Amino acid sequence: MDSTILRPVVDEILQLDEGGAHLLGSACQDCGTLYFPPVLSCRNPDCAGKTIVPSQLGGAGVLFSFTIQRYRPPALFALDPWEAYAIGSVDLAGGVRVLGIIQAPFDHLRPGLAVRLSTSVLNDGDEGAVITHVFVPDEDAPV
Amino acid sequence: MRPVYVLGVGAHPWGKWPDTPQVGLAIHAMKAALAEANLGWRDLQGLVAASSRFEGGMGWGLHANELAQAVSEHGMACVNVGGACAAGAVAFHTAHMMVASGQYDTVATLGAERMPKGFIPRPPGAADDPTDHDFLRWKTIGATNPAYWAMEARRRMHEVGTTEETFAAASVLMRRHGAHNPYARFRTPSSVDEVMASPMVSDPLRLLEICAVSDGAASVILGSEAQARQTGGPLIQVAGSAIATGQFGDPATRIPMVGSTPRPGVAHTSEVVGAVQKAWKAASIGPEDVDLLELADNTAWHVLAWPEMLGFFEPGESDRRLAAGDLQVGGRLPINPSGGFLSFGEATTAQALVQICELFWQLRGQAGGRQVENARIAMSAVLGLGANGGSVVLKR
Repeated sequence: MDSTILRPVVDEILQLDEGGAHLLGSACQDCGTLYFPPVLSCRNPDCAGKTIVPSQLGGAGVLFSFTIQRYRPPALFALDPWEAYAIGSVDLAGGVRVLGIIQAPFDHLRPGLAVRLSTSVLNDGDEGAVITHVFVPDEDAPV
Repeated sequence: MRPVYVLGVGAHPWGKWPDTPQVGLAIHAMKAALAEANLGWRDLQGLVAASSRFEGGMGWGLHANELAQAVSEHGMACVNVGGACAAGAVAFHTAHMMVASGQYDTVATLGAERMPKGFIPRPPGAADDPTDHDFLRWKTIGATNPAYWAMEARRRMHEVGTTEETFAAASVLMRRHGAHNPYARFRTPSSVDEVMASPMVSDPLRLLEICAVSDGAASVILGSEAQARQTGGPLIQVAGSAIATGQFGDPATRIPMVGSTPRPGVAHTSEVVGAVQKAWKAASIGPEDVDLLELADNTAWHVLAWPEMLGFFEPGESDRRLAAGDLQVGGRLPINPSGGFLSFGEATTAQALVQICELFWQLRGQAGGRQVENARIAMSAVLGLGANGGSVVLKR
């Protein structure tokens, strides 16, 4: 499939450009907190300014924890054909933890695994193929 | 603020009741509570109901009004509160303050629920909002509620070495307690082998380690000391009632969040920790004073993690405590003598109130085969969507 025609399953949180995939989030200009997805306000109670600007997130991260989901979730998630897949929480630079699909052999999964942001194709019945954010093992990570 | 007492409690057994409307379950629970309190409908000056998003409430969450119109139109004050799975605790907290303030002498609380089958889905008609974590978790990841709990369980295995067999043993303990509870849905004891043989839902959690969804209803009636003395029986006082929300930087993998901002030094599931600490302070007690604890065991992970998180044990200590028998009825800190969510299945908004029913039955010595000997201080802790925490301490 020609990847140039693929668009994110939710446009507002994922962007593809020549630099690769980026998650779209927010940064607080006053206290520096990063958020995913984009927020209307900083939620740090000690932050008085709460000035939010768009921010790109992604690149390298570390797998905090994971699971392998063995049962098909309710409609809305367009993985077709269905098969068990891994979901994990990933610590990205700047103190933000993001949930995503983890594309790696199940027996490679462990907390602490170096991963990086990537994308994967979902088949959405109504709108054709779309992509969603995933994390894959980062072969370039320093050991 | 004046002292407040529990006058009576009642529940409809948990199960799947397709032929009984939610209001029917509610009336059953309230009739039982009124009978226990030796009160009639007209004696209720107020009703605080936990609002459901699944059924009833005239589309506006007006569950108290719905009940009043269904069973007793006598002009009582109706208050409807949200709080998702902690809504029953929010209702209790509200009713407690209504009586404590002196404005009301007798106020009932109610939670009644009939749950949709299977994984709890998005609310019907919810908009596709790209800032809504619930939309994003379904649309971009497909993450079910058990997936969130499973990630916590996997992290626990990594941090403190919990084994899959220990998770299974925690589930077995809940089922063993539930076997003695006529209100529980699952009353057949199971073995570690049976739990381990049940289907893997979301690694490392298996079907028998995750709470089902159930239908049920519970009611707790609160009143003044004069009311309690009229009712008779040992006085059961509300020693502490607290609700709280989460703290910035909480490291929990919280449903339905797809992004979080964990910070060092912030309590895990801080909404529940905050509520429990406030309830202890109000009751002038600490963890060493608690004779039994009812906690929200959505999974076997919760049975192990929560006593540590709440300050009863050191991190990683629960596994050894479970193996030593400390968490069972007859042990040093009985956890969920009722059988917990793993034996009931979760009827969301009713759950915190059936926890409080159990505290009452235990303190009154009415808990039969699951009775904690000479229980004098009993405590509950519950968690709801939106970082809602609730905790109640009752004492005899």
